[in-house]
Amino acid sequence: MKIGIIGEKKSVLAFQALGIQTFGVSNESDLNITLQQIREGDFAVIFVTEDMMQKYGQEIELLMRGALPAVLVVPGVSGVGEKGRESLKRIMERALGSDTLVADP
Amino acid sequence: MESIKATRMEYLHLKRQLKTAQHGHKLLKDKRDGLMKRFMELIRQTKSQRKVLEEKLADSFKRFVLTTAFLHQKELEEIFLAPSAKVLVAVEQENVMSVWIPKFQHKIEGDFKTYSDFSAPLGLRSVLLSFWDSLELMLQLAAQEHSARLLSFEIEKTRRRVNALEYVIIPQVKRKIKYISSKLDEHERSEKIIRMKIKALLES
Repeated sequence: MKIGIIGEKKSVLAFQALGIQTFGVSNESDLNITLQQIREGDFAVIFVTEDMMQKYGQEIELLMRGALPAVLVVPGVSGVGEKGRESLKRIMERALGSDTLVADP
Repeated sequence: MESIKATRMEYLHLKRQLKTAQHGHKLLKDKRDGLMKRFMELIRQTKSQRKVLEEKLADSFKRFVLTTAFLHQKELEEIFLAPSAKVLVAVEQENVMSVWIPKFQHKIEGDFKTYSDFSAPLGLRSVLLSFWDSLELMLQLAAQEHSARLLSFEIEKTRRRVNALEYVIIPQVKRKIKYISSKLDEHERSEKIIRMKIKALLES
C-alpha cells in the first residue's frame, strides 16, 4: 500500500524524494481530483498539512471517517498551528463527552 | 399507558424484556470501559509524540523552503523527478472490542538522493535527512491517532446505547411492569369481593 501527502505544491515536493506520493493542491478543483485519486488508489496513510486543513477542512474530514486511509495532520511551512492539536482535541471530545476532563494528562 | 394490555402474558413478556435490557446494559457498560481504557492509553502516547513530531517537522519544512527558495517550481520538480526511495506499507488489523484498528508495518527502501550535487542546493541533503528521520515517527503517529479516532467513534456509539438503555428503555419497561402488576392485583381483589358477595347472597 502507498503513502500520500496533501499540501502546498512546493513544500510537499520534498517528500517525493522519500518515496511518498505527493499531491500539490492550490485550488478547489485540485483538491477534488486529489481526493478522487486517493479514494480510488490503494493508500494506507495520508498526511495533510495544517494549511490545507485550514482551507479545506470539511472536505478532508470526510476522508477521516473510514477505516483506511489513516489521516494525520502535520504542521506545514507556516509552522505549528492549532489545526493539528484541534483534530486531537476533537477526538477526545467525542470520546469523553467533554474536553475538560483531560486538560493535561 | 392505556395502550398496554394488562394481561399475564404481556407481563411475562415485559419481565423477560427487562432482564435482557439489564443484561445488555451491563455488557455495554463493560465494553465502554474497556474501550475507554485503551483509548486513554493511546491518547497519552499520541499527545507526547505529537509534540515531538510537530517541532521536528515544522523546523524541517521551514529549512526546506528556505533552501529551495531561489529555485523555480519546475526546477524543483526536476530535482525530485525520479525518486529511488520507496516506502512500503503493510496493514494488519487488530480487533479491540469489535473495532478494527489498523497496524502498519512499513519498510523503507532505497535512498532519498535523487539529484546531482551540482544542480541542487547544498543544504538540501541535511533537510532531506531530517525529513527522512521523522518519517518513521510520522507513520507511527498516523496509526495511533487514527486508531484513537476510530475508537472514539465506537465509544460515542456505545455511550449513547448505554444511556438509552439506562435512562429510557429500562425505566419505561419498569413502569409498564408496575402498571400491569397493579392492574392485575386490582382485578384479583375485585374478583375476590364479587365471590364473597355471591357467597353471602347464597347463604342468606
